[in-house]
Amino acid sequence: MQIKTLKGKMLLGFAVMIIIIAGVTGWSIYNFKILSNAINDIMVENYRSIKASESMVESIERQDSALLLMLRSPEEKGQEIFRKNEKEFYTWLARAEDNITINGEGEILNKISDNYYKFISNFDRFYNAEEDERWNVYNQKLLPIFTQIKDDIRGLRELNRQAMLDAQQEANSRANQAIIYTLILALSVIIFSLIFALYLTKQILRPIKELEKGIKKVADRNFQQKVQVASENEIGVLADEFNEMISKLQEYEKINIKKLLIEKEKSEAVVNNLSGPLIVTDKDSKIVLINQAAKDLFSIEKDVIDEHFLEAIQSEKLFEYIKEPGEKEENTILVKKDGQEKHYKVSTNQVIDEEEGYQFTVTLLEDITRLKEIDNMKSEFVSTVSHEFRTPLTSMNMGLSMVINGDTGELNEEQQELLEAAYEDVERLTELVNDLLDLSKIESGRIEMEFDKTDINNLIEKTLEPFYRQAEEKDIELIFNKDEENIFAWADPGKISWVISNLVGNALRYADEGIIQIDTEVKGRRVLISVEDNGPGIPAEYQKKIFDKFVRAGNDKDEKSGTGLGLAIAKEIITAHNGRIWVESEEGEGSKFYFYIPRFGYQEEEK
Amino acid sequence: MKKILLVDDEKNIRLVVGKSLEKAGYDVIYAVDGVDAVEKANEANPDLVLLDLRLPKMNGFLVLEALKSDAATEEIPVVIVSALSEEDDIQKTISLGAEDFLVKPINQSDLLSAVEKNIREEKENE
Repeated sequence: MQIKTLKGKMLLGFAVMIIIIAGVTGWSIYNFKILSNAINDIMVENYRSIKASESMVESIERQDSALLLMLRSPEEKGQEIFRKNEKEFYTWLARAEDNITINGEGEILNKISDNYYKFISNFDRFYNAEEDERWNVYNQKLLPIFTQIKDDIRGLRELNRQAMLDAQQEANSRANQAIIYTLILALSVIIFSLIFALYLTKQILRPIKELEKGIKKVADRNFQQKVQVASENEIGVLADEFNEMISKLQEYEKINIKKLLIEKEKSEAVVNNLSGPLIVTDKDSKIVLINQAAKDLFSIEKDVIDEHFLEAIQSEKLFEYIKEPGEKEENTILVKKDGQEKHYKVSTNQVIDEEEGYQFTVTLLEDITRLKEIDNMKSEFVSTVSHEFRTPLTSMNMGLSMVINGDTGELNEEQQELLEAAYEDVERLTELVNDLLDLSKIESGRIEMEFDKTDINNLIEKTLEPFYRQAEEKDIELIFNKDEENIFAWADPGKISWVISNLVGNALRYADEGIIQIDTEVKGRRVLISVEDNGPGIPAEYQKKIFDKFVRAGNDKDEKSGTGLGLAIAKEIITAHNGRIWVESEEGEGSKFYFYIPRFGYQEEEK
Repeated sequence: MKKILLVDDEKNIRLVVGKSLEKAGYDVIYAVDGVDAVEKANEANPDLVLLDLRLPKMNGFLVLEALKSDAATEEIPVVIVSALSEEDDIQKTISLGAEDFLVKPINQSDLLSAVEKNIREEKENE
């Protein structure tokens, strides 16, 4: 069975090490045991034998001394020593015989025992012999036996000493062997442990390194390469899971990229298919995006992405509009292209990121050349038609007035009434035609404003003069509240006077009684003028439209109708002054018309 | 009786304006186009010319120029009566020597006051 898991491999490795260490320990114990036995052998057996030998030599030497003593002095003392040592000798001999451990030891002891018996037997002859005879017995019998015994005992001792030396040598050699084996085993354990540790480290670290590389790549958004881990252990499983995760991420990324690409393609298609030129610029006014229409319009052939706007497109006017984003009616540019003049309306929008703030400006140009042409044609048409009306109106007007005046004879009451109605309408028609012509002139820019430093209070006073009598007739109080003396505006006095006349005229026409108040006020760089009445007011839904052509408020009574062009003309005049006109009104409460124009000295800022 | 040359291609204008002038006591002669106008002015030597600008054959500007550049007619006052009301047109006629400019539609009183104001007091020949 192959062990696959890291845990199994580690356990197996450790088990092998433990077994080896146990073996080494057992082996060492065994060797100690043997050594211990060898020492025991030496101590117990050989040492005893040596001790016995030495004691026997001592005893027999004392006996010899006893013999010599007996040869010279009283015999009792010598005999006593001799006998005592005889006992001693036998005791040690018996011990030696009990402790026979070496080959040859038994033979030597037998020989010693036999000779000692002879020695003792000859001692009896010596003891029983005469003084002179003793020397002979001693010299011829006892001394040679004594020498022989001594030599034999020495032989015995030498044998045991040799055995002891052998045992020591064997113990030494065993100890050495044990050291070597222990060393070998210990080394094997160390080597095995090293190998095992290396193997384990490799087993764990290599796949971990692979994983680390893989994770780094994934962190760098490289989902292409998978982690290659061949092992089937835990790391392998982890790597497989990791690869699985990468494939999922890769799939996810693919889907996202695909989505982004589709979105990008979509927006690019939209941008490029926009018939209107489109330019996107960043904070530094560098071009981020430009569509084909814009390139065509400004005759750009190269790649201008990342170039400064003015480097790529030499239109300072357009650049100014981009710098001040917004959609304003008057933001238009004129581009000459292939000998044709083209008018474009400019809309600029800022793209503001919630976190990062202002990012881009999107500038869209709308071709209004055709609209301009139509507008011009319309003005032209209105002008022509109005002119064509004028001649017949002259004959109608003059013809009718002559008849009404009785130049052609008396008229009856009915004829008079009918002709006067016709004459009234001719006059209204005349007024309408004149207004239409004025409007078309202003719209087409054919009337030039004659701007001058204008004393507004003075201008209003003069303008109001003809209205006082009319107001008095209608029981209306006409009040001019001057805020400041000498307010100077930058204006065409004739046109502004016309606007004030129109507003006051309207107020007088619609109000039946009450007050009409005219105010002037300086508001920073502007002059604000208002005309307030307490007439019927203007319904909310008409308040914005009232400055359009031919719009009259719903509560407008027929007999009070003007041409419906007065406020439209007023708006054109005020717009030409870079001003603004508006109304605040509540039905039943009255209306207040406001307009502002630049104060003298501030006109440049207003442009 | 003061003589006025009324130049207009519109029949109705000739009728009402002519009648109005006659009622006011003027002698009125008529011209229907530019060429006719120059001829009549030379022929009749009127005390005033009421001249329309849009005329067949020869337009009012050319008529005015012809009258004012001819010694025989240069003294005759010319009042323009036209539906053209552009500032440029008015300026042009004034610079060519026109005495006054009335913008159509006109009414009787405007017409008569302009006539009275501009008509020649007396002729050298008479």
